[in-house]
Amino acid sequence: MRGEHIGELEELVLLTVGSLYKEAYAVAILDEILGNTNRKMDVTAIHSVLRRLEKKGFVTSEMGGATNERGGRRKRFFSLTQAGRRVIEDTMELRLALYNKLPKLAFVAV
Amino acid sequence: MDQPPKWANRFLEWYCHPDLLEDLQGDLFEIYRNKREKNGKRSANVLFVWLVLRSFRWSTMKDSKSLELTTLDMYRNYLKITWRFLLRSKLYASINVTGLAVGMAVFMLIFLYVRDEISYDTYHNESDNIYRIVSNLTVPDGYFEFASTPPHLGSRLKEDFPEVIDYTRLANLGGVLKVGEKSFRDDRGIYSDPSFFNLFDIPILQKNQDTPLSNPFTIVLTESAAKKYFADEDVLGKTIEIEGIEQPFSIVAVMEDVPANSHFSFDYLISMRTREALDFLREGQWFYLDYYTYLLLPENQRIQELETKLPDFIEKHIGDAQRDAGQTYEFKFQRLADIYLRSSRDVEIGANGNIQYVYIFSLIAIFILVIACVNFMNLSTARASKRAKEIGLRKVVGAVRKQLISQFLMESILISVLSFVLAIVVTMWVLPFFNQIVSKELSMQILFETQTLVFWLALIFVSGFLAGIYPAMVLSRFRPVRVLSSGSPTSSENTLLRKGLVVFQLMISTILIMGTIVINQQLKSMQNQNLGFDKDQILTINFARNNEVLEKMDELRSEFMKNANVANAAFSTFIPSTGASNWYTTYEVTPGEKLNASMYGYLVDYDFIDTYGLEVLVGRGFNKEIPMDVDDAYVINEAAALKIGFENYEDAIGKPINQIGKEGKIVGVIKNFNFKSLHNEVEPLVMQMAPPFLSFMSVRLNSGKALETIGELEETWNSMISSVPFEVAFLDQDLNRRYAAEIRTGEVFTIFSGLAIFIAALGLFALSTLSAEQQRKNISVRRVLGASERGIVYAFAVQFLKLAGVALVVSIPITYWLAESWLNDFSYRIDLGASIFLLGGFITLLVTLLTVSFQSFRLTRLNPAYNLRSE
Repeated sequence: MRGEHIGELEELVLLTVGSLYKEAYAVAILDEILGNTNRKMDVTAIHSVLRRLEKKGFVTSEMGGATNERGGRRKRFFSLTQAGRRVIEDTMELRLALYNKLPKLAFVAV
Repeated sequence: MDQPPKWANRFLEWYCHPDLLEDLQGDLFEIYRNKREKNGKRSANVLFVWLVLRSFRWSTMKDSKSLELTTLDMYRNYLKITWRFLLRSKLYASINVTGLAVGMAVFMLIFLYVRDEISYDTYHNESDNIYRIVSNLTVPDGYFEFASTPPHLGSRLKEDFPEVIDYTRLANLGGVLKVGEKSFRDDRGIYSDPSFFNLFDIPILQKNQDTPLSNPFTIVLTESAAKKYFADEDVLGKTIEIEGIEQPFSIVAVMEDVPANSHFSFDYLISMRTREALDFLREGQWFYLDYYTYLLLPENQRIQELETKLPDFIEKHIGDAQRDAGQTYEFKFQRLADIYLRSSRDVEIGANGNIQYVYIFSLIAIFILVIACVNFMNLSTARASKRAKEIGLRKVVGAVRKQLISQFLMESILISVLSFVLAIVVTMWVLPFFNQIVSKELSMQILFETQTLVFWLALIFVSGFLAGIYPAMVLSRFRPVRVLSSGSPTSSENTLLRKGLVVFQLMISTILIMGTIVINQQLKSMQNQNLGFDKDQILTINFARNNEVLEKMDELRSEFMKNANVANAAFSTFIPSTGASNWYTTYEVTPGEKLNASMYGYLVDYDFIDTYGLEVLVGRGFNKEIPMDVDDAYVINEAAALKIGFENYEDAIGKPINQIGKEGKIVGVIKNFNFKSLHNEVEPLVMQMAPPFLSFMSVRLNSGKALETIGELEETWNSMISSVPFEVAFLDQDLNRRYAAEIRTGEVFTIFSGLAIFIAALGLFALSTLSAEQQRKNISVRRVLGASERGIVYAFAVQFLKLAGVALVVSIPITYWLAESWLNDFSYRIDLGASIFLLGGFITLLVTLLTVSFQSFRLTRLNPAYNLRSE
């Protein structure tokens, strides 16, 4: 099980990497998360999560082509690996299973 | 060009792992550009720097392997050498560290003290926008600066000026509180408007009204007063009686205690409405100055703007009254935060501090730190020869000067860090004593706040840098060939500088020593100053105009007089430790021509003059044989006689005079006695008899057995008086308290100048040890050639005494100038005689001599053969 456990932020980033497909680099991920969850983070947090995910083998990265807006510097694009995909699915399943066990009463009571 | 800050970018490139650099840098650039388009250059720059710093973490850094191996090893080597060098020369290391640690500890203590002093009244949210308005009053032949104002100034200002958001008034009240059957003497009460809580941020803990203090006969207690008077009961709605006011007061709120760093302090607040209800608010009386008025103004209000409008305001409201009375007002604004340190007016609401002492202490702190740094500089340069070989070798192997400088700076900063740690320990240890001396409650906590931590870091680096930069420059300049071949660098210019530094140290120490002598002599002379009355063996009891006491005055006195140890007893409104009130006084010099002035007044009884041993110069004192005295007799002091215009005191006798509305005639002139602080000349004083308004009892004891007598008197008192507790004070102690600020300064000055000379002596000791070592051969040769022991000691000591002499000569004029400007604040001051400088100089020379002679005696004990045998 070790290595397959991921935190909430890691999960969020992982999902975003997946959803951005070929366009997933740090700044885009940051904007995407901001757009979807209105969560303000700074890019260094994204960087460190990405590095961590890469070390765990859930994402891989490659350098893209140079662009003008970054002073000619290339972007590092991330994509999901098989392991990454599976860990997302596992997490989802687990959540769903737990969610279905929630007694209906709980909603009534609140 | 839209580039982010270069240095931050360079820093990023420096630390970032090359594999990660390109995309990370790219990301940051992209964010930078987006931010810049949206929010402009400034915030984009800030963001970029922030992100670069945030990215500075282990995972992004270059592998330590990729750091150049040699650089790291070099630093490790520097550390090792520093450590070995410190161990090898334990004496110098410990002197350096101790000196610097003591210097830093002093610095910290003074930092805490000064920080507390300047923090007064800054804890209110609106602190910057609160102003106190004060009155300057010009009377026909006098000028007064009062901290207080007429009763309704605040409300008139608020009506006339839209700028005034709110105002509040405070007025003093002294009284005996009564809770149930118990009575407490607590005169720490203040009248206040309900707006008090709008201006000042002292939180209300509980209340049973929306706006406490808006009704008459309501009272707000501070937390600790509530605890003291009611233990742990729920106090809201309970009542308290105040002696002299019939109606009981209802407790409407409990507030937090007034923070110690406030210019006012009290145990309870009473609604100003109470004064109205009792009909002594004196609304509409413009020459009744009993109120402290505070205004809340809008943020950024230009105070000069308001001040220029004041003359019209004064004309509109007080114009006629001023012309009638022949007095003119001027009102001034004081920033709330300035009151404590920068205001010393008549009738201040509490004892204020003095900005001068804040400056003096800060200066001492810096001086002592500099002395300690100088020690370090001196010892390092003096010991340069010890390290000459090391430096030579380093240079030969390829060290450049920059590296050597950084090595030595690193060394001194390391010592500075060590000293700092030690200083913290020392400060912790002595803080309780220091608190006692300055009567404050300073806490170490402040030392560890983030802000101050940055400051300490700066302190460590600055003192390390100051102490290390010169030696680093000198040491790194050595020429390898010379030091490696001959073994010692030529350093005549170093010794000159060293001598200069020693002179500088000794000079500062001497100034501090002489300053200490001046301060202590002035204090002593103030305490022994002939005040014009006999201050010893007088007990005072403040009964705050309590009716029960007033009714039994005569009885009480005669019962007290039965005690064999009581010499005399008297009643009065004021005693010399409380000051006096200024009252409107009219008098005639030529018949029919009424003049007026404001003069201090004392209301007394028959025995006051005798009890205090006041000397009647002309005429007589109040006389029991003449019952009319109660109604029309006045006794004035010399100053009043002169002010009225009686050059010849005889002329005053029988002349009409009227103070606070009682027609009468002058029956006697007494010698001036000092009824206010020694900061002031004795001012005109008028005494009359007014039995219903007395509030102090003074009892003169025969010498000896004071405690026993007090016990006996207490019994007598308690058998007769039930509503006022018997609480006595010794007049001389109270008088000394008036000089608390000076006494405190004196003590602090004494301690710190002692420390200064201690640090300087430490340095001198080390320097002389070193000098002795270097002159070993020289002296051995002299010995062999037949020099006497005394001659050698003399020759050695005189080198240092010369330096002390120079320091002495320089320090005298500086001390003279500083002391003169301090003493000019006092109207009773000592003269700066030669004895002060002689004594100060003697101490410096003595300390120098003792410090260096230890070494010179050791020199004479050396066996010349032992020193000369190896070459």
